[in-house]
Parts: sequence; C-alpha cells; structure tokens
Amino acid sequence: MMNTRTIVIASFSTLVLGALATACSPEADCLQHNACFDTHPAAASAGGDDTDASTEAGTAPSAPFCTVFGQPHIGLGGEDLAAKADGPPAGDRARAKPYTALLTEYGRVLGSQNAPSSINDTGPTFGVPADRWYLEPIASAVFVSTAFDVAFEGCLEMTGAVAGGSGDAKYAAAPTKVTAGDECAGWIRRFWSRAGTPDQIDACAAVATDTTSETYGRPSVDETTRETTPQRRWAYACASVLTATGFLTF
Amino acid sequence: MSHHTALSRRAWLKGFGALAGAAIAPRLVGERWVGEANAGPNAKAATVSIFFEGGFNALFASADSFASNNTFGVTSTNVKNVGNGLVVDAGTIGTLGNWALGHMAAIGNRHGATDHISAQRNNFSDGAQSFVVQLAAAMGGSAAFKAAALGSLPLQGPSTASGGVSLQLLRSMEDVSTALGVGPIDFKRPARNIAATALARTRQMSASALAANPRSLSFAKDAYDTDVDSLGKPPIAVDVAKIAQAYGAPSGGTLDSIPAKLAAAELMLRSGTNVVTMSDTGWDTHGDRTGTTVRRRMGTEIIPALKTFLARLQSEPELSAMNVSVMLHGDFARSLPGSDHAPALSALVIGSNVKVGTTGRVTSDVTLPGNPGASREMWAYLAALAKVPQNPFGTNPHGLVL
Repeated sequence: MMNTRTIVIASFSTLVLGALATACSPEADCLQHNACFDTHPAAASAGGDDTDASTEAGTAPSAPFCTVFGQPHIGLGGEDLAAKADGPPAGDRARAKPYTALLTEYGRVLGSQNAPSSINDTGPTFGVPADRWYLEPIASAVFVSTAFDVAFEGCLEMTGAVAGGSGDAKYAAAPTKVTAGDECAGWIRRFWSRAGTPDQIDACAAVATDTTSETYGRPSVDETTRETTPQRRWAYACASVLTATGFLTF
Repeated sequence: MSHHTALSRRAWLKGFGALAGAAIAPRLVGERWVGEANAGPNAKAATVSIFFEGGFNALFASADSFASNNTFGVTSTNVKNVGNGLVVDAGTIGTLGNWALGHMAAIGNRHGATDHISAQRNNFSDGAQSFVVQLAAAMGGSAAFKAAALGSLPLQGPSTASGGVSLQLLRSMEDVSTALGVGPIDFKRPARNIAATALARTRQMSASALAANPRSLSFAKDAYDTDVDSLGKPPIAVDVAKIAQAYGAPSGGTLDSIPAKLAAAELMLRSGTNVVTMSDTGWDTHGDRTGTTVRRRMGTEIIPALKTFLARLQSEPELSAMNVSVMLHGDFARSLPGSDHAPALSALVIGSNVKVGTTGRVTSDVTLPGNPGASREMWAYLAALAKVPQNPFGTNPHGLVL
C-alpha cells in the first residue's frame, strides 16, 4: 500500500518524465518504438572531431537529441542563461582540456616516468581559475606553444634524449619514413584514444624525418645551429602529436 | 671699425651659439622633442585600450559638468581646463604631464547599454565582429601577434579573426615572453625553427577537427596560425626584466595590475603589436557619491603607471618613433546621485595625433547631448588617429585629429 509520500514522489516523477517527453518528442517516439533513427538533417553529415579512421569509413553516429528547448531563464544581466546550443552529436562543440586535466594527462599517455614537471608551473597560461571559480579554457597561441614545450619535455624523457625518463633504446636509431609512420600511428592511437588517418600519420612522420637541424638563439647575437639527435627528432614528432586537437581537446 | 668688428664678433658668436644650441637642444629639453619629431606621418601606429570594468566616471573626462552642482565632489578648484572645452579632474588626469595634456581628447559614446554585460560587449564589438581585431587588421604590419588582450579574462563579446588577425590572450609575463620568444638558450625547450615546422604539421593533424568545429575551435585555429607565424620569425631583443622594473612590476607572474599590464603592453608594442587591450576590475562604484573612491583608485593604481608608460613613449627611441594612442574607457559613466549606471560614456584618448578637445562633455545629469555616435564611431576615431589606409569603421565623426 502506497503511503502519501510515495504517491507524491510518483506523481512528481510522472510530471517530470512527461515534461521531458514533451520537450524531446522525437526522441520519445524513437525510444518508445525501439527504433532509434536520428532524423536531424545535420546529423548524417557529422563526421565529428578528428574522425577515427574506423568511424570515418563506417556509419554515421545516430544518437538521439532534443529538438525542442525549455523555457528561457533570464539572469540578472538580462541574458538568457538557458543553454540553447543545438547540433548533431559530436558537432561543433569541442572544448580545450582544462588545466586540471592536463596536469595528469601527459603522465597518463607518456608514462608516469616521463610526466613533464613544467606542467606544474604553467597554470596561468592554461587558464587555471581562481579558487571557487570556473574558467572555460581558451586555446590561445601561448596555450598551444606552451603545450608544445611541455609535451617536448615529456617526450625527451620518453625517447631518452634526457636522463630520468623511460628512455626506450629504440629511439636511438634515426627515424625513417617507415619507422616514423609506425611509431606515429601508435602515438596517435595512444595519445588521442583513436586511430589516425593516413594524412595525420604522415604529418607526424614528417616531423620526425625532416627535423634534422635545430637553431636556437637570436640572429647575430647568440644564434647557434646544431644537428638534431635521433632521440630529439623522435621527441619533436611525439610533441607534435601531443599538441594536436586530438589530445588538447575533447 | 672696432665697433663694426665687435658687432661682427657678437653676430658671429650669436650664430655659433644658435647652431650649438640647436645641436644640443634635444638633450637639454629631454628626449620628448625627439620623440615628437620622430613620430612622423607614416609612423608605426598602435592603440592601447585601458578598460575600467564596471564604469569610467565622467568626472575624469568631463569634470566641469559637475562643478556647478558640486556633484561627485567636483568643485571649481579641483578641475583642470585643458583647452578647447576639455576639462579634466585635476588631481588625477590633470597630473599626466604637459605632453599628455597637449594630446588629449574626450570622446562621447552612446552605445545604448546600461547593464554591464551588454555595455562591455558594446565597447568592443558590434555583436558579430571585434572592433579590436578589425582595427588591428586595418593597421597591417608583419607582427604575429597583431592584437593582444592582457590579463586573465578574455574581452566580452566575439573576437572572431578578421583579415588573418586574431585576438590573442596573454595572461602572464611568462606568456608575453613566450609570445616574443625571449629568454636564454635552453636545449630542454624546442628549437624555434623546428617548433614552427612541427606546429605547422600539428595544424595539419588537427585540420579535420578544426574544420568540423569552426566555432568552438576557432581559438585553436587562430592559435596554430599565430604560432606558426610567430615561431617562423626571429625573437626580438628586449630585456623583459628591465622594462618590468621601469613600471615597478615583477618580471614574472600573472598580469594582475595595471603596472604589470602596461609593462607587458610596452613589450608587445616593441614587437609590433597593433592593438593591446587590458582591463582593471572593481570600477562598479555604486554609492561613490563624492567620487572619492574612483579618484583614490585612479590616483594610486592607474596614474603612476600610466605616467611611466606615457613618459617612455616619449623617451624610448623605439617607442617615440611610433604613433601610439591610449584610450581610457569603461562600461559607461556613473550616474547621479548614487554613482549608478549612466546611459553615456565619456572616454579619454591620449596620443600623438590627438587634437585637444571634447565630443564627450556630458550634461550635469550625465547624459550625452547631440549625437556623438557609439562604439563603432569611437573606434573609427582610433583608426583615424592611427592613420589607417582605410577606416574599417566608416567615417570618423570626431574631428579631434591632428
């Protein structure tokens, strides 16, 4: 026997579910008839972000989504605070990873031995907010170039160009087009959690094979050019993959 | 004869004295004259926007509006008549020095918003395009960072790239150093030439994501473009610590204060940046009926660093050869009697090409008479000061241009 409290909760739940069903009527139909086809016109063309090679050749995503929005909620500044963004699944809604995520991301994909320490000092560049505030990260130019610097540090350790990291001996051999392609495909899979396309793998491999000399300093002041060691060439390629949207955004 | 000889000698001495005087005059009067002489008609232009988040009280740029009623604490003795109708607050703006006071104008802006979010957005954009980016694009040049926003937060409103120019956020002095590529050689960091090449490849790897997310990843696209351009250029020779020290600012850390931001602005101007924006928070001064709070803050937190900046624009050879305009503005002016939100803004502009005067004189109840235009027209004025080949904002209605 239901008591009053149970009746109230059940009634409220029915109302909420009813409201949701009204707001998202296409999905309600879809779910009720157990046939989840997305009829949103933009959805079929949604390749998404950094399309996984397997997805690219396969079927388009078909997740249901709302097409009817809720009521506006006007804030103190006169702005409607209700979210209105619509679009296909995996559509134009990529976001830069926040600093708090990046703090552990490099160590996760490179191995804890190779976690770059410089990430700990770069909070302001990556837009770390003050306590109790939230700040949407913005991938500015210094955000990206600092990300490249941080990644390079970790990759130097991974390739053994500097001491202290895992330093796999395989990186002592200079990269060739074939070995670079293989390694880049593996990095992309590991760093981005998805397979790379041939173009993406080629772009990474080109970094490894083409970066034969490094120039530091200012022209006519302290400029110095030297040959790039194999480990550093691998590190540059590794860092280039870690600075792509596949790693820095989600 | 002797008389004639004596006269001739005197005349000769006078002539010699005049020549010698002309030769040493710039040193005697300081480098201010040198600066003015160098900033020729084709000088590299730059604009610096100092935005007061919350509001910019019209007592600073239109002080006489309040003298007769003694509102905002204005009296006949604490104002300074700069000329051509421009009267400023004597204790703050009035202390900026002869060069600034001789190149200063108040610009009226009726952008139509009295809420902060809209007012801030209206100061910097038309809702679709960023005035900052448009002006930076119109100025041209070869700098990788043509438009820079200094500080923790981005500007309100869109900052969509225009003409290949994007607005780049620099949050710390380290960010500025990174942008300029300064610092000692460090082999633990990537070589500049390879970083440029590698990031171009990274941009290739990201191409499908950038294409699929034109809105949400617009910043990232701009970032890759800016980095590839920037890293492909040699770093500039500049001493960050020395310049920061001139402003009494630390050479590292976040850009939280106006001294630090102005030091960073100088660094960016030296690298060729066209437009620099910065903001200062806490100017929503409700209840400041006598203007005491805004005067105190302006006098202690803004004016000393601004004086340094303006002085260095004259004394530093690289800067004195430039045509730099500085604009002080905010959400809107403050209304009477309670220092709330006024439906008007009187911005203050200082620069080499500024003709003393005002189009921003408010009434005693803080409204702008006539039709001075809104923010587009204000930026049209800045573009006119910069002598851009084609004003991206249309005709400049403010005639206060030298």
